Amino acid sequence: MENYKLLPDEQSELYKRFYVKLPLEQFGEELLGGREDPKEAGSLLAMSKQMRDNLGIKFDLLFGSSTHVIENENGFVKVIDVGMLTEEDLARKMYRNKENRLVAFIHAHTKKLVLIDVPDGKTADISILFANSDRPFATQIIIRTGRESKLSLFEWFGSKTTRKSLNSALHEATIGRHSTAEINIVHNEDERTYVVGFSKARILERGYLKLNYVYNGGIGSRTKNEINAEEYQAKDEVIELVLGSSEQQFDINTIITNGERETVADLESKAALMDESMCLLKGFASLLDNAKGARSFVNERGILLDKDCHMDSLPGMSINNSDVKATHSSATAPVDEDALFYLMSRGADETAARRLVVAGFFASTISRIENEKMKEAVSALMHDKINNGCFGVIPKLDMHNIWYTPAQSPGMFQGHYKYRNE
Amino acid sequence: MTLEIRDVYATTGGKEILRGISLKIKRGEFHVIMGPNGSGKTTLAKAVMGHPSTKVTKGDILLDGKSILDLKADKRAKLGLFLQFQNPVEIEGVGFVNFVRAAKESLTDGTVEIKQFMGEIRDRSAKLNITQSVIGRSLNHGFSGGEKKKAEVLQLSLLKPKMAILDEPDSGLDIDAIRVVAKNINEIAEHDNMGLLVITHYSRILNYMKPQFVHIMSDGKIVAEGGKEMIEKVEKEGYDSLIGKK
Repeated sequence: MENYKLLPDEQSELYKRFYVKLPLEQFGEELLGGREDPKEAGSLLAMSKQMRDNLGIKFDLLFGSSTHVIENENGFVKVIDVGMLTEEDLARKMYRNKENRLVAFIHAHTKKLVLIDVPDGKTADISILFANSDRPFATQIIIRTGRESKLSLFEWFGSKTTRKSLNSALHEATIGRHSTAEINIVHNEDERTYVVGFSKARILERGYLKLNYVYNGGIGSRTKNEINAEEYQAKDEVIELVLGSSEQQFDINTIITNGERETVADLESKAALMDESMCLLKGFASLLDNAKGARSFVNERGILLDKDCHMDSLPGMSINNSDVKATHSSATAPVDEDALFYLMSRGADETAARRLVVAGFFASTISRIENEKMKEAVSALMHDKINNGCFGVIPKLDMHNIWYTPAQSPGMFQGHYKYRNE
Repeated sequence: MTLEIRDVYATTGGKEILRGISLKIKRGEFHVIMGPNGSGKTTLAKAVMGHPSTKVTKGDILLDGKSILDLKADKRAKLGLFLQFQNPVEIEGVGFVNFVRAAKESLTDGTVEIKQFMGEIRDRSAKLNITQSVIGRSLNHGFSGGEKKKAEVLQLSLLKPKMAILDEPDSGLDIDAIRVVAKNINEIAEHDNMGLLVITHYSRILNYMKPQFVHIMSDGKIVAEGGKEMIEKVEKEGYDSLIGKK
């Protein structure tokens, strides 16, 4: 550990004070000594069928704690044992154990990992279901897109447990030169599952990464994402949508880095919280010495639907080049009583009115997502969450309930984004 | 349907605003409440519709003889009440058409056939001189003052309530728009045999309407009542001369 240089956000006293502690120790032994769950393949197939029936989503790969099922062999996805990693695969790995004990934890317990490789000039559309049963889950997903390739990736993390469990994953992505990737990740684990997630992404020259997260499930979630626009004119847009209910806790720490000239990094995080749920949004923009002409945005917003929910948003910035445009903003408020009254005066009951307000709150962000599966999944999850406060179950998509339309402008944050389209 | 406001006292933010107001409106009747700023007109509208910040401390509000004080706004709307807001709330991201359709479905407990509904929206929007781009936007978001008022009247025409309270339907409108809005309100109310209570400061919109009953409100009470002649009186003499002359 003595050689590890702390990232700027890790030096933040605030970030040290605000965090969600997860009881992971209890899972380690089980992961190491875990036996294969004979029922898991059946459970994965059942979940996949339900996803197809309810949301119209077909998966290429079903990946569980101890087994996997390939539904559609497309040539872009491989599942391999950790011991079979080649030198080239290992070279792509960005995480090192010494960085973080949770990373070391996932490294120590991963048995199989997923490799996604989109060769130069190719286009890939991939959907993967990750799910844990009572047996805890740890895996790694390594993504590489070649020059001028296109990737649309949809990942659904779910779980079906009868006792406390864990769903943990590392994502390591390299977005190639002139390539485009949209990675969509939905967390919808059940109320007995803890969620740990780490993502690192490098975007190479003129590469473009859209990274869309939805955090809806899990009783406690802790994630750290480091997205680095590493080469000239690389661009990333990160969206984080949090839907909290009951006693869910979310600790979401995302660092966007502009590492080179004329790079663009954009982080937009929104949370809608109900009941006694809690969320920490820790978005951090780091503009390095070489980031001349770079642009960076951090925007965190929250809406509190009940008096006992809680949110702390802690946007931060570290700017080391004077020729950049960078803004950060944050706003959290209870749901507007007048808005609810207006909607109710037109006949919407209180639940429907709240759902409308939340749908409106997320609409401008959802409209930036390109993957239709992701858009519909978010709408269905949001509907279920506001109506029933539930998570971890697969919602049924009802197009009738999609009431949102894209917002015309960033509204009160118009000033915040005045540089976005330059 | 009859809306009866019976000796109502009400507070907003702990301050007593309504002080013993009584009013009876039957379906098909057209009433107007006029009064100076701060007389409690909007508070009355909110009390009738059930705004949570307005507490009725004494008296009762009844629809067809049954108290509605314990009902939330959505239940009152389902009974046939409608409030056109003085300052409609902007709700970004919620499409106008989808919202009104959902509201209609909620009020009727049925399913709205979208093609026919869009036809209705187009017809009435044309009569109100509302451009289609306004209809395609989020609910009241980015609407001008005039567009907001017209959009409220459009909702009135689509939701077809039995009893409508229109809180300053003329404020923010230019002279041509006032005429258009008044004409549309007349048509809608007549077509659906609506009970109508229009709240306004100024008589201008009433030049294009035919109210049967005019009530002058001051300091939380009705202080003068009469027919359409009251409007001329207000125009000529102002409110001061009428206050205290019930």
